[in-house]
Amino acid sequence: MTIAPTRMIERTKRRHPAAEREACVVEVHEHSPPTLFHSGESFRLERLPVGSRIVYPPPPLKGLVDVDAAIATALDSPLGMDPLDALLRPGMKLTIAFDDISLPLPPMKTPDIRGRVIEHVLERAYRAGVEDIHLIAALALHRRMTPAELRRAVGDRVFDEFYPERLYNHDAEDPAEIVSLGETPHGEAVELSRRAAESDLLVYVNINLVTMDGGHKSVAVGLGTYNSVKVHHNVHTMRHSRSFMDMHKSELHQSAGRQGEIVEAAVPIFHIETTLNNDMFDGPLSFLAKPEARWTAREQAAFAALKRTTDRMNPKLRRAAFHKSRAPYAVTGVTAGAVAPVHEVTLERCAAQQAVGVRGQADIVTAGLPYVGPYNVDSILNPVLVMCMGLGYFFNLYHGVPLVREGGVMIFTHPVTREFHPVHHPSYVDFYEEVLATTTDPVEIEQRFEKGYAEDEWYRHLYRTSYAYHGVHPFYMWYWGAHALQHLGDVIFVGGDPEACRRLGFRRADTMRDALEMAEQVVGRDPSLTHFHCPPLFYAQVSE
Amino acid sequence: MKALTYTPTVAKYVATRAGLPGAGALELTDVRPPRAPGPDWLPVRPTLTGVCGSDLALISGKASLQLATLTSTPFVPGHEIVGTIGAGPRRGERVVVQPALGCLVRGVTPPCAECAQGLPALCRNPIDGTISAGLQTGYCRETGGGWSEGLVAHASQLHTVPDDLSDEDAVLVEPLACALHAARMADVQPGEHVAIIGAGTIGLLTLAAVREAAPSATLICVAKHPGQQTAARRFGADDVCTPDRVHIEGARITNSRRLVGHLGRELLLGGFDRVLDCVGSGASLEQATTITRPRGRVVLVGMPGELKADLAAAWLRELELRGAYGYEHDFPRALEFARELKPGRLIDRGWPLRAFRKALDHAPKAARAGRSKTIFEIAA
Amino acid sequence: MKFASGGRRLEKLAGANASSARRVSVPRRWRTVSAGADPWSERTVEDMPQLRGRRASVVREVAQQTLLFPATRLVASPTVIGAEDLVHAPQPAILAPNHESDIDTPLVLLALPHAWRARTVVGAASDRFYRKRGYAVASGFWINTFPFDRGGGQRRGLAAAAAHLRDGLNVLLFPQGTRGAGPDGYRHGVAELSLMAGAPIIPVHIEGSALVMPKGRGLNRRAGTRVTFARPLQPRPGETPEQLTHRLHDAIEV
Repeated sequence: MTIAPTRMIERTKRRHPAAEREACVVEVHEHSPPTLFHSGESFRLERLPVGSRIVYPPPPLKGLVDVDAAIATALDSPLGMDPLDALLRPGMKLTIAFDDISLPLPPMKTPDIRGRVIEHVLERAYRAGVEDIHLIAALALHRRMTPAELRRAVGDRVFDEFYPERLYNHDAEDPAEIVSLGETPHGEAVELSRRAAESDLLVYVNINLVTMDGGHKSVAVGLGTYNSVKVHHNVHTMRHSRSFMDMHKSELHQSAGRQGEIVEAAVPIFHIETTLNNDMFDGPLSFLAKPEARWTAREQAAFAALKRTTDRMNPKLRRAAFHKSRAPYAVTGVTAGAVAPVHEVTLERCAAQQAVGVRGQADIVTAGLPYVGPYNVDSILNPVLVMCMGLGYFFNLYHGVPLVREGGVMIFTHPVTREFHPVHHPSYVDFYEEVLATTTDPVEIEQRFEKGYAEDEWYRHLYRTSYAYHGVHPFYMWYWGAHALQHLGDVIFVGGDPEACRRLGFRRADTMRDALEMAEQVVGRDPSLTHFHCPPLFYAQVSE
Repeated sequence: MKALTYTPTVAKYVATRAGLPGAGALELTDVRPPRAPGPDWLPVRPTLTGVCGSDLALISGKASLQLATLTSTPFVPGHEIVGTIGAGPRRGERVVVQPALGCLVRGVTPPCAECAQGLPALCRNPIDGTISAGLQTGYCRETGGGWSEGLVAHASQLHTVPDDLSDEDAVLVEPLACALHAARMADVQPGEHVAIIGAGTIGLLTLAAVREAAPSATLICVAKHPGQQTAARRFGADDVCTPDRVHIEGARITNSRRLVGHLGRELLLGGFDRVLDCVGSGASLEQATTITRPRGRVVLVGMPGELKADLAAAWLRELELRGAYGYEHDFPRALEFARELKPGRLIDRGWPLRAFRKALDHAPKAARAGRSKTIFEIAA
Repeated sequence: MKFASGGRRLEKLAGANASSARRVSVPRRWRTVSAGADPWSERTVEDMPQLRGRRASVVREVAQQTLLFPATRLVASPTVIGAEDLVHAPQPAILAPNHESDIDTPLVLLALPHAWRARTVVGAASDRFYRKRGYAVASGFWINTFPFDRGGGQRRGLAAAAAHLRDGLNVLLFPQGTRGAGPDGYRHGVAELSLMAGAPIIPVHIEGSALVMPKGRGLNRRAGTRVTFARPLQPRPGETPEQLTHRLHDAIEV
């Protein structure tokens, strides 16, 4: 028996996922350092009261070593369907649809996973002799992607070959390009892109960033129109989606599922779903995902330098710098095949990365809103989008019950500046000035104003020819937070512009202490406080 | 053995007076240990040697040229010595050297009148005898001096240091003896007003000596630098002032009137009974004469250079100017007094011989801070 | 609510949270309206000892000799008597002139020999010269004043003057206390100060200044003035302030 020298014996540490996840919920004590709050395009360090909880995101999982091999495996052995090669035959009409720029956030480093998957699919298609291939960005009522963005998403080779005749954005307002597929048993209209509906095979390349994405929502919503989207993008559906991150409890997903079944009956769809880890901050900034108490002295100095620099920078430069950042996301899984089994696996993988168990709700939940959401990539987070980020997304990043109790208060840090991007968000300006000035009640907004904006010719023109979000989009942003508006007792923005906050119907404070004092008046003395330390993205599995 | 030898030449003297940088007359050289010129002489190995103001004046070329006739070059300076006897039956005994070379030491018989009275520092025969000319050890070619690793001293020059007196206190016994002698020269009566100008080593020790001699006298010390003022208070001054305020304070203390004349010359009508000038500059001497009462006594304690002083007041007021140099029987008294006074706290720091240039540069700066004494540490 | 207090180094390194909105800055000095005189603030400005320093004195001497004294000589054409005998007067002493106009102080200062002027401080009424900072700085610079609280605060004023005497500076104080009090208006403060500090008083007689710059008006007209220095008055032991004041009055008004 040879005795191996000790350094050669690798002792792998046994990882206990359960213990790790419990370590994600940290209690603040007297000697805790201040907490990092994102605040739009700057950072804040806020002190939280002793006894509050901070829910941290889980550390990023390791990505796949060989992504190409994983894609090949997925295409060769899909779940619930024949392998891709078997589905391809010469002379068929093939359409490949892919997620638009609202995913992932921030944009991931090239090569984008969509591009890699599409290249694999195209390779097999060429080998099978398919020639009629169209690539569509499935953006529903979002803004069209610019050529540069398309290039980034699909890769240079694909872009150079297919753009512009065979690689284009989905146009939901083109009457020639829309086909109606009937109605669901519940009376929900289903409309789809003509090209997609008339294809022999529709391949959908999806990125599942959060548990809301993917599944039937990919095709039914992504390639839909206003008529098909409005059946589930309304106040009633949103209020009964508890939450829309949890597809089993979400009215939104039920409705989209029904539509999806109709679509599946019309067109065979080969779903390819990919999951990413939550490694959002590049290289030297990766400590931003760690709890502050674990920052080393070097990281503290790096953060101090970062904060001081961003505080002093010219706002325009700062915005450009932030929006230029790319996330080093790693792919954690690729699955392909029929939508149901594939999406189940995808959701499991998402949960493995993002789920954090939290016991009990809190009176007050604080969160720092970042600079970018799905609807302002390379753009400005205007007040309506701030509301959507806070009350739509951050409030709804839960499974089970909301992190904040009914009647509780949510405190966000964001400057809420009254800036609107004139090209990307023209309808938002009018929404802010006209609609919100009159009322902030989602039901009333839906009844009185939605139809006018949705059918406005100018907005339609801008949506089709310029890079503007659809006229009705701001309404959907408001509905996204409809459940939160109903659920919460108060919303306070720390450091927010007073005018904007007043228009949105929220309160504002200068410092966290003031905000907590204001919140105490709503929820009572000595409230329990939980800080939701997001981004990086994750969700809380809240039990009572 | 190593020794700092002073070898003056005209060129070096001129260069030093002109302030030119250069080697100067002091060098660290290797010399043969001095031989005992007679049977009663003993070799002494210095432990600590002090740097006196007179040595600094000598090195910087400011000493009076009058002294050249009473020294024999080249010599090793250093006359404040505490060391151990190097050979003979008393080997290893800790001693302090009384540097005056009188008739007894020189082997001159019969002794001169001063030596017979016990004042070897005022000997009339510093040029005769078995050794070369020199007022003191430290100015004589044959004896060697304190700034070396060995010298020779006559047995009558050596005073045993009691065991409870540390080396640091012992090295200041020689200046303390000077101070005690100056205090005796001043002859302060009880209740008199005394001013002591200067708060360097000599000034502070004189202050202590005068305080010890006349505990009921009012002592004011004139100290230029703020660091020296606390030291002055600790050594027994009733009041401390800076040189520009001495007339105002003097007028207040002695209840005299102060006249201000042209060009800022001030005068006291009245003044101190005794003034001891421990600085030895022209300004201090002139100031001393203007603050003394008529027929008062000004004692010159500090080593003077060549002075420019307006002594009209001395003539007008019929002042007594007395020099105080050397010792009578002050060494035993100084050894005793050092035990309670602990003059070792005046020492700034000790330097090795090889760092002598830095030590001599640093010495005047240290004096301004109240730690006025610089010493060489020779043996460990 | 008790807040977490750890991580001080991180907080200090990173600095404060940047406030988004530019707030209206609080004005640095509120413009206030004061109704009537404030009885608590008779002297709002403190003494400025830095104007008595070495360099300030040199600058003052130059400024006086180039600007103030030539102007005074121009309007007042003074004749000085007895200044040479001041070299026999012991310092520190109290200079006590009669007071008719504001040009009295510059007249006395230019009449003094340099040995005196360099060592003289002038007592200026704090309720007149030390209300506003600008006036205090100006008088402190030009005529080397210190604030003298007259009237009820006379104890303080005399104590300040005594401190200057103790420092060896001569003090110029007006025994009448104000301008235009007349020969009966001699107060006892200066005599008290002399007895307290043991300093001699040098009586100064100024004649003709009321015409040059009377009280209540600025420069009136050019006229000739005369400044006379008398022999110093030593306070005798056992003398009362009234007696000394009487002697002083006689010496000035003679």
